Amino acid sequence: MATYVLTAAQLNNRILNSFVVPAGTSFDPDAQAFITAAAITDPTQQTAIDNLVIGLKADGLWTNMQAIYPLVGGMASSHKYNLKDPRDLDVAYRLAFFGGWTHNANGITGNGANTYADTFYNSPNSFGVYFKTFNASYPWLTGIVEYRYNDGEFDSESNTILTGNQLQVVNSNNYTNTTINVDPPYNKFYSVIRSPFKFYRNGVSATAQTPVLPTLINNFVLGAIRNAQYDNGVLSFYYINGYGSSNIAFAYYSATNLNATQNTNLNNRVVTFQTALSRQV
Amino acid sequence: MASFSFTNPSSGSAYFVMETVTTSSFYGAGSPTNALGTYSAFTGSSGLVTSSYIFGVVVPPGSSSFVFTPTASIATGSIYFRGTGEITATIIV
Repeated sequence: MATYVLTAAQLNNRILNSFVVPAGTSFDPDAQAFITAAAITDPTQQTAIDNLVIGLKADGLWTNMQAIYPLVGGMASSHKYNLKDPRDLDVAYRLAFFGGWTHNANGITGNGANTYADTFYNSPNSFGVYFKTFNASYPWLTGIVEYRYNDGEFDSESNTILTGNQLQVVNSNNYTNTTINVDPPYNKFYSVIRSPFKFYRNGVSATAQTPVLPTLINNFVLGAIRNAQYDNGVLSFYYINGYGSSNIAFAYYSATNLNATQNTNLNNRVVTFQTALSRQV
Repeated sequence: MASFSFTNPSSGSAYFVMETVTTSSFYGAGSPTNALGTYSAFTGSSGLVTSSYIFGVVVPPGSSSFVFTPTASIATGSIYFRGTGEITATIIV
């Protein structure tokens, strides 16, 4: 890329272009919409996004996704956009960043102290995170804890918490509490499916356990955990904790229970995407 | 694709124009349609007016920008850039 600065004096007298303005590459319309919204000007990044969209469509995954965060562009103003609906709106599941995130070509990295991103998305049947680094002291990637009280008395807790080395599920409805540990190395792509339950690591099933994921009605956050308290069925307050410090390079949330083939295909597309951006693990 | 960004230090709006070079007094057969394409990612810039050969935008005080993606590549020496007032234009291609 080349930069040309035209001064007021030059412009006032008109100036002939001394450079070629290249024609636009024809991208998939959905890819183009994201590229435009996120102001992605790097050709490598543009092509990677285009290939990701084309690949997800070829695999039949595109229509099953509600929120896809490519986390490309190196800045918060680019990272916030949802590939599926690149409008700068909460209802488009555009990320809202809070705290001292680091934004760069590798995606987003929390500080373990106050960083989270609101997805505005709740009750996913599938979700996943591709991450590049792991810190045992700040391992949290995404999740929700919901406490319910009735007339001031504790009633139940439901949670789903994905960290870099664990998936934790608490479901008071059937009195289960499940922790699925992952063997190191703790990185790459985790994907969680509600029904039938599956926990995939790099597209491969990572456990034989089959916890029942609770229905969580509050917004998932990325990079931390949202804790929400309901009193007599009404949201009373929430707070964020579990601030992670992983470098996250992709995330998705879906209303569809992805099957094994879909998970394998999704993993392959995400790995190809990360490789194209030279940020694969 | 070209990313246009502007700095206008004055308190009033100015104007930026890109126009196709022509050897005659009007555009027609033989003139490249350099202004055909898509205009996007407007920040601050407004009042876009286009034809197949020329586009113009209002440049408000402060910083503004947009992206122009021509349908066909624009050759060297085939367009003029003009601006009013004290604006500075930065073009990234």
